[in-house]
Amino acid sequence: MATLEQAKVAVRPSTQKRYGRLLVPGLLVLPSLIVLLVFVIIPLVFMFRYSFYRHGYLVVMEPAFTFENYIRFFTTVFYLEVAAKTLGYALIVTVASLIMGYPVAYFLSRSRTRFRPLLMAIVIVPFTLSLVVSAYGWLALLSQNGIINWFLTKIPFVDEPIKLAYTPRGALIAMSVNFIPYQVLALLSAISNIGRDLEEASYNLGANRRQTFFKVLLPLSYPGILSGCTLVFVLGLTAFIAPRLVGGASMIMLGNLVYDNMIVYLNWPFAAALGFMLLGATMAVFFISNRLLRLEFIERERGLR
Amino acid sequence: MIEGAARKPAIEAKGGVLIRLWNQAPSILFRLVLFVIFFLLIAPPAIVLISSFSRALFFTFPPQGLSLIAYERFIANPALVSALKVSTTVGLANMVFALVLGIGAAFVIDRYRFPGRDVLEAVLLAPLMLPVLVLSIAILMFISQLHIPRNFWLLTISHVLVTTPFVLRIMLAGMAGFERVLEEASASLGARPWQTIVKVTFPVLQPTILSAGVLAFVVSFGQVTLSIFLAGQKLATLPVVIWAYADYSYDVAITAVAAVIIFVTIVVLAIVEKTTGVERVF
Amino acid sequence: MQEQTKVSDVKLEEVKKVFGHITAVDSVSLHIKEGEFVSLLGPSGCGKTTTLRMVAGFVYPTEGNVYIGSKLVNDVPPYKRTCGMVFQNYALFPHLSVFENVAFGLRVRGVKGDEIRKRVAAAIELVRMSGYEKQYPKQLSGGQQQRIALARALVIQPGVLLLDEPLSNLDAKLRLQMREEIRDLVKRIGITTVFVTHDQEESLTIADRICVMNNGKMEQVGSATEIYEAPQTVFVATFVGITNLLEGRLLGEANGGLYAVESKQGIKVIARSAASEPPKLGAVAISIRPEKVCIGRDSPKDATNVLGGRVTSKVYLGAIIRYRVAVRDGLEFVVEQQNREVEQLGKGEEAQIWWASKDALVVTHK
Ligand SMILES: Nc1ncnc2c1ncn2[C@@H]1O[C@H](COP(=O)(O)OP(=O)(O)OP(=O)(O)O)[C@@H](O)[C@H]1O
Ligand SMILES: [Mg+2]
Repeated sequence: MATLEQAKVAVRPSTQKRYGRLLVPGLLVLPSLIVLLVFVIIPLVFMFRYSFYRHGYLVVMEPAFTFENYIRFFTTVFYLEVAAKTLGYALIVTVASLIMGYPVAYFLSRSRTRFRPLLMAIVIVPFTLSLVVSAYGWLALLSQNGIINWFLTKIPFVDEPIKLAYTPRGALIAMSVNFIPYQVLALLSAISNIGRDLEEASYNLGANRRQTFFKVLLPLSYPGILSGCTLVFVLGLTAFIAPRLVGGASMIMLGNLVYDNMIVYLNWPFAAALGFMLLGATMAVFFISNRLLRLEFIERERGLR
Repeated sequence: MIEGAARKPAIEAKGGVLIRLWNQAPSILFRLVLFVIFFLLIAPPAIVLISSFSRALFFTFPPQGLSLIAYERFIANPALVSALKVSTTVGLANMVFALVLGIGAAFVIDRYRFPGRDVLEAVLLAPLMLPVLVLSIAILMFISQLHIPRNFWLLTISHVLVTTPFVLRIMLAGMAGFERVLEEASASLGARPWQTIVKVTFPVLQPTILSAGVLAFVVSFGQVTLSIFLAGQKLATLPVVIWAYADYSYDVAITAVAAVIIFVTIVVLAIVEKTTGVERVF
Repeated sequence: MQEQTKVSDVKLEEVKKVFGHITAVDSVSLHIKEGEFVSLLGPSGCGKTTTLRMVAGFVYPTEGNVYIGSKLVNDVPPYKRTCGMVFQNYALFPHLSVFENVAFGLRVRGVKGDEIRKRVAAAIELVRMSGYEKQYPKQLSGGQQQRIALARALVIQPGVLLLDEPLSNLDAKLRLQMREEIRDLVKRIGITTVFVTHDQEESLTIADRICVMNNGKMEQVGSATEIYEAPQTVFVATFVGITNLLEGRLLGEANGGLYAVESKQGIKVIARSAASEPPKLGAVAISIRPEKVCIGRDSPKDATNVLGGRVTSKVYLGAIIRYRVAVRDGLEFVVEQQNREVEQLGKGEEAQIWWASKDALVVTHK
């Protein structure tokens, strides 16, 4: 009798708790998962399917199963040129933004200036600011009578304003600067983790600034460099706003091809194929970077670095 | 230490100012480089703000005279005013959804321990890494095939996709610093679980929630790519208007539009700095 | 204050708590009477907090029963128990003023307007913090926060007050002062109190009864005098105060409640046992407090338990002088001598030490 009652007391609350445990978190995450499924995963899957559709003249997409969109891409010199240029441009902005971002990140993680919040805000603003707005700003900066040419014409050797607006050159400058915040944010934690003492130890052992930078700072901030560059490279691959607005009509990247085929030529199956290839490239880049990062950590664990 | 201090002047006496300059050159150069980079970072929004108050109808530097003509043209243009309304309402609706979804998910990831928790977190944060261009065209194709017209809610939800991960990340950081003992104190004082959530958990997390909310708003307010594809004619947002105009014609009113987006961004960042601090969020 | 919620007693019956592989609390039985002040004392990780949290309701026992005021509360959530709790870091609500912090427990109970004002004012008065109502926790010092935390716990008129190392974040001087204050206050109200600490001095001075815990188990419960003068286990003897411990074997009962023990070094000692039931034959230890041991060049004629040795160190501590005396086979005694005694020994001198049989205690390994 007594044992029976005790058993009841022991069993009831635990089963009750188990149901409660599933119910509340389930209700809390399920909406997020459903939204992701319905608005991200399913559309992406269908886009993959559409990339095998045919472009019709009466309908934007004609159900079919053809590889012609992919074949067209890989057999047209123009598209391959665009792809090559896109890779090149993405690489350029990645390197340029890293070169400009590194000193900023180094400064922000080392200095104790009281202007730090302000400087941090200056780094964050382009990160949060609308892409079109900064593109618009760059157009103003780079134009014939903009501030940069105003400054350049003050230099004795430069008589003529340099054409920067509506050239790929200008767009690359704009994108490189716009991507600096990504590099800085990725590098900040990496550099902060390298204690000042390591640098001091290096000087102490007789290394000069250059040696300390290349032998100590750079290798140790490698994870930050890698993750920043990965993000920027991927953003560069799919860029189309700055290339169009700042680079002008002659600057065509893969992103612009996608846009034009969606909006201007209404060749959606081809756009789907391009989109799918961009997605694949993006995932490949993230995958490789992840691998490299893991390798780096394994090496560090083993003490090889 | 003392020895070094004593020796220095002797060297300086020999080499003079030039040597000192040469020794400091790297740090001077470093400062100069930093200055240029910070200038480049701040220049685009700064030039837009300056031009928006200029009397000239085109970008020129230095600016010529002060005027509010750009803003007057903005207000006088019904298409632009409508875009402002759309941007604001989409931004607000998006903020509500993103907060609800993001806070809910953050609670589960922060409070519960279960297998696959890391995977769940990675999945929910994944949209941050997805190219927005690809996402935009995929959604557009998908709804067109289903013959669903582009509408306000679709645009909003599309923004929610990219803003929720922001909210989730900020909430997770904020909740990691939340002292659970406060909830125990509340319970020991007789508060029921819902009373504890309403009277302790949410108020204590309020700065984090505010930060997350305004950031969700501003990301949506400035979001171009999704809006270009999913807004349609009637629902053009401010960034879409800039995109469309900048392509074809020049109108000073657009400078005012861009300036408004910059103002909103600055206000939002100021709020974030005041409540949780910019550095803790990014 | 108005009609008091009835002060409750707390009863733990064979309570056990297991976290995964760790048994945090193991068959603890303890009856805390109404209005009694009990302290849980033990080293870090011994299960004090877990025991306290089982009373509060934040942790449910794996086995055994918890009663508060004769009501079985095993499955009762914390907000339905009548326990006021004070936390180590005070856990004041940062978003609420002092007044609202104290009023919190009343508001969630639906107490209204005037009564809230009256009761909060009384509680703040009680901890002598009147005038600070509008301040926020961040603006208060540690001691002030502690007082507010106390007021907040007491204003709901709980049947039991639980404190988990409430003084550990205060500086030494404030800790002494707050210790007195808490004791006075609690005794004035007459509330049942459980006070967790790992500081033995705090425990001995503040509580009516002390429950010494080790490894999740209860070692001994008793008053300060009992714990110090009559430890029953090796752990209690060594954890509370300093002692000379002789490991050995119980040979048998001598006479009049005295036992014969032979130490590992072969010293035969007659000792008393403080346990309610006689110790079993086999491995035991002898505990002799340093101040109970006498030292001199020669022992008096009537001295019992005399050992000869050499002084290896002498430390002057003002009121007392502490010697270390090497006796035999690496066995060393700590001896404390009152400063007023005339005969002092120097380092390296031959010495004799002796003690009364009633001061040697048989302690067991639990
Ligand atoms: N929630 C928990 N999950 C797992 N193990 C726990 C949990 N709470 C406590 N423990 C373990 O139970 C044991 C007892 O912990 P408890 O906090 O009760 O000790 P304590 O006596 O209060 O120590 P301290 O003086 O350090 O506060 C410890 O080994 C601890 O690691
Ligand atoms: Mg504890």
